Amino acid sequence: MNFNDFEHGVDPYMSETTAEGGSVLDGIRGEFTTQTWVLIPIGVAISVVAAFFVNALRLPIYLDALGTLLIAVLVGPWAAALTGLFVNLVEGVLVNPTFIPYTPLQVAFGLAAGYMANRGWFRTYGRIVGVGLVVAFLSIALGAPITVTVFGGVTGTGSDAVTGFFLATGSELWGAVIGQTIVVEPVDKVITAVLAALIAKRVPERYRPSTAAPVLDKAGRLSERFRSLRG
Amino acid sequence: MNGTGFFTYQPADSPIHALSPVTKLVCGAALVLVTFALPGWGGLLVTLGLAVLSAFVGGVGRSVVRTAATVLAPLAVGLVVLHGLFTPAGRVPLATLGPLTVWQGGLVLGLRTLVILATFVVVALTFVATTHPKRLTTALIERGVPENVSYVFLASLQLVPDLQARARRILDAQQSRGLDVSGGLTDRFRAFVALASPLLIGALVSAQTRSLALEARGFSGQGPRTHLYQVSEPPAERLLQAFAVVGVLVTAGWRVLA
Amino acid sequence: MTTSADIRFEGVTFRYKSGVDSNDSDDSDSSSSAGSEADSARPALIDVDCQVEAGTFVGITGPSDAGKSTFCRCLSGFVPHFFDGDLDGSVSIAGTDVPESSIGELGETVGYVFEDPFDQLTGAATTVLEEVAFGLERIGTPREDIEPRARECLDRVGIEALADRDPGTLSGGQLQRLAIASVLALDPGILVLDEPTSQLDPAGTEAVFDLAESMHEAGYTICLVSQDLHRLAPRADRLLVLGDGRLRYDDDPRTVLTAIEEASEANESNGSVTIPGTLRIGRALRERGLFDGDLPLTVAELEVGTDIEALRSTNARRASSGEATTPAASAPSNSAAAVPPESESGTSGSNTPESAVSEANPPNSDPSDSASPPASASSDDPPLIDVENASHTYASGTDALADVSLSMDGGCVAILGHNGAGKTTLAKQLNGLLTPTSGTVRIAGRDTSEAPVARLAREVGLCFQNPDDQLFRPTVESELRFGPERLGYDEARVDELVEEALAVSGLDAVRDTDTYDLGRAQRGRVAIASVLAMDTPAVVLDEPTGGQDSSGVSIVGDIVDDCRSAGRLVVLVTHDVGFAAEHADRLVVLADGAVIADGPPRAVFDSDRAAIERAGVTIPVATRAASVLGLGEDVLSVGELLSRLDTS
Repeated sequence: MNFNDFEHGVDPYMSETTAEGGSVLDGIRGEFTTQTWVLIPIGVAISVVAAFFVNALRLPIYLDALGTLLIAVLVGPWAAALTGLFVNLVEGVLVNPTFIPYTPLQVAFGLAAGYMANRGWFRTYGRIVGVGLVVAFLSIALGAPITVTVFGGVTGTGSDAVTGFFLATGSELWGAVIGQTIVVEPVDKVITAVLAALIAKRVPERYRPSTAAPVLDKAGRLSERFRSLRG
Repeated sequence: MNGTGFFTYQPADSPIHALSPVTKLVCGAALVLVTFALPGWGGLLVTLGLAVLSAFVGGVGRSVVRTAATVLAPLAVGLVVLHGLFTPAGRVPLATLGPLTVWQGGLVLGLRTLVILATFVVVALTFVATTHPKRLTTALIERGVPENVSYVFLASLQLVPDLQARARRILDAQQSRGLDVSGGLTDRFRAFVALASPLLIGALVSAQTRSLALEARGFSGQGPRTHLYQVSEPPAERLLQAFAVVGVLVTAGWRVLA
Repeated sequence: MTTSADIRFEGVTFRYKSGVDSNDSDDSDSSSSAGSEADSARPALIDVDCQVEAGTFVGITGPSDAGKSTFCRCLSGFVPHFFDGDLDGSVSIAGTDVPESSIGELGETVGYVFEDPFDQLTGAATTVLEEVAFGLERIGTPREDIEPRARECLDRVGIEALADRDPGTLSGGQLQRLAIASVLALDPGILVLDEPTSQLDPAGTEAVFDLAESMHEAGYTICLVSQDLHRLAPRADRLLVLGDGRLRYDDDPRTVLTAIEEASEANESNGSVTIPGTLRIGRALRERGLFDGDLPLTVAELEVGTDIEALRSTNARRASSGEATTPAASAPSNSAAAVPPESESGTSGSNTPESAVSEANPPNSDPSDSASPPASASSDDPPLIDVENASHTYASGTDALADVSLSMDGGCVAILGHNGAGKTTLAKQLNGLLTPTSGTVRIAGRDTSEAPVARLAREVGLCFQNPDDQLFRPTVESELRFGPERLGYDEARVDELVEEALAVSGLDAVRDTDTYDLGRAQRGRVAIASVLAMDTPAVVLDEPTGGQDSSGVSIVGDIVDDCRSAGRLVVLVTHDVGFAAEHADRLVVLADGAVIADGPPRAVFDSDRAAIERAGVTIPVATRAASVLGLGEDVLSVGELLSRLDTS
């Protein structure tokens, strides 16, 4: 399907307003087609449901940023930010209200990953690790203050053991929480970014939104060549 | 909790249910903010008491308390252990177990944080259990929240159990194709891709149908919109909202000055 | 209704934008050989001319990739607004060019109902009433009018009583009616239903067809796409048959079907559409001077038009003269009159083998019987699948299975029954995804409660109904490799198994195609093939004919027959009783979690027919036709019925 055509065909108002708007507003408007409004809940739900697979496979990580990163790749930064906003709100409503204070993190993940995706940061594994590290940095920088001020330094997960280790070895609470997140977050977020890329890569061409950023396309071209060799 | 294992709205005829969602949102947030700002134990226990009382007045007390306990238990363990053992505030030891010392000041600090969090969790769960999501979004749209943003919220709430069910079917289907969920770590990460990819692709296939169906039903139409439900907000509730806001400001001001 | 519209297609040719949109459709249509360059270059619609008067009930049919969905999308503006491509010619409704209006505007002229009952709903409504109200809210209907209008629409589709229910709790048939009510709210004059019943059970299907018929009587223009001509033809005023993007036939259904039936004489396997069996039977009777009038679309018409007295006396004469049996007949019956099915047990027919499997271990004593599937194990070994007094109660308290005992070792066993009768629960017991809450299930002698699913997957391959719940690899071939690779076969063996599965499933031509570039029908076969390739002694297929067109059904039939003759046990979970009757040796009917009938198809159909119909088993047309014609109670296929007429 062609999203731009959809947008112009259906919504003549949009093209009029975009002509006048600034470039940032153009970008935001371009992102929010009907299809985008339908995709955002999917990103939200995947973030929540990822926990089901994580439990079934007993994976030692959270992957709670998966949906946000997928929307970042498939749509763009603003849609991903909105996805991030609702990931923690919806998880807070349905599962556990203590997710709600962490809402700003996911919004930041979405903006950063979406921005990077648009600039080709999902094209190679090396760069994807970079995306994961940036997201992890945001998680540490924004998450630690919330953990300390709202939750007294605990998360109610296995990570608390790491915090305990830092405290036991003489760190202050702030240092211990930051130390804990530095241990846990980069691993979780780099794996999340790689998995998001692998999964987004599997999306068949015809269901891939036209807003989608290039993902691992170097590898894709390689397999294309193999295919032509065989056929 | 319902059959899907998620915490959701529980219909009932209570004074809390009857309040406008905006009133509940404002008052609940105010109560939590005030709790964070209160210094002593007395005030904390009053606010927690108010939160629990509103849950019981709303007829959802039992399920709220049960869920709150499950949510808070791991946090409680973390708070008591981490602070009790490693925050020697006041330097008053309560007990010594070999190399470990339990500090009174740390224990009190941990419990204080726990009470504050408990207030927040109980307020949030009571809000969820007594507020119909559609009434919430209708009220928020009346207060200026964009229509499509409220669509995202409602659709996300509905999609989670739906995708969860799909996730179960995918797990069944892939296991039937020999997917081993108990192999080595790398295998299990690969298995994650085999499970999450059909979940995303299936959702995108649905999204195409849904976009077309929504478009045909006027989703992106530009004309004026109307709403099936109207959320009434009597003057008394407006007053209550104003009172809650003032309460927060007063508490905050007092803390800053004190 | 706001518009009483004439639909006009003039020289319409549409070609999807090259590349990603070369296929006709996401769900209902598929490219029969997608991936081949020549095919993707073909326009989805070619030079279609057609005019439909307001108030007509138009049936639309044709094989996969015929252009049916594209035809419908032209009416709703999805083509060309959403699906990009080159549109030549003109599509107009009530004199207005469709491409001139937006999809949203067209929503008030054309109500579009999709194949998947759930995906087309907003997904944001907590009650049925809110779902219907959505469109009214979006077009700014005054608040006080919204609820009455929404309720009126629900009333029109017969689900007013469900107004306060959560849409997620409705059955497929109820959801489709909700989808119809939701588009009716915008007051269109035209209803387009694109394969609305292909995912429904027989009860839901019947309800949706009845509703379409009553909307037609209320004055709506109906365009309904379906492969189910048994239900479509008697209700439609017009039948359009599309093939390769062209409009092949356009006339009243009887004329069209008679023409196709007569054209198929020369080439019987030219199964582009499944002609209702009654036409073939009627024609055969007419040739014998026993049927008068137009060829019958229904069993009732067949009964009315047939000179049953004359038929009876012919039969009686034939029976008494003892010339009845023709050895070459495709049926094993030896007399036209009703034969006690017990007497047939053990006899073999060329394509309707009998009771190769019985309740106990199969006797399997006749090695010369080529049709009887060889069991993989000798008779001392435990049966491949042994279900013993299994009951299953879900955590929610639902009793899904009640004391089921089944032993299966070879051949093809079909499990029939309503949705909710326990079919899927039973299927999941067969590879250990579920273990019984009481009783035992043994796979090759191994108790399923003691073996992991990954281990049992070596014995039993289970293919679920919805291919989208399992397909994820980039090409068909790599998708097929997934299962055997997981089972740890070596490279050469995987290659070999994948080749075999590709060949038997008719997927060789699309081996390098992205699975999601295939239509629903082919994706379904990819899912089946991906389980076949695991080379398990037993294969369980859940609704394998769902979403398949006429040729797809026959390929699935070949797959089943192929597995049987290779000695594999095939378990079908299906609503398609006609398919089960033709391919299964044994039918197991479930009702409320219990087995209410179990035996060879003939015996089951000849037992308490009312009871099995109550259990959701639609007796096949050929069987019913044979009954009313007095040709016996145990006929399984049209071919068999015709053979009972023969010899005069």
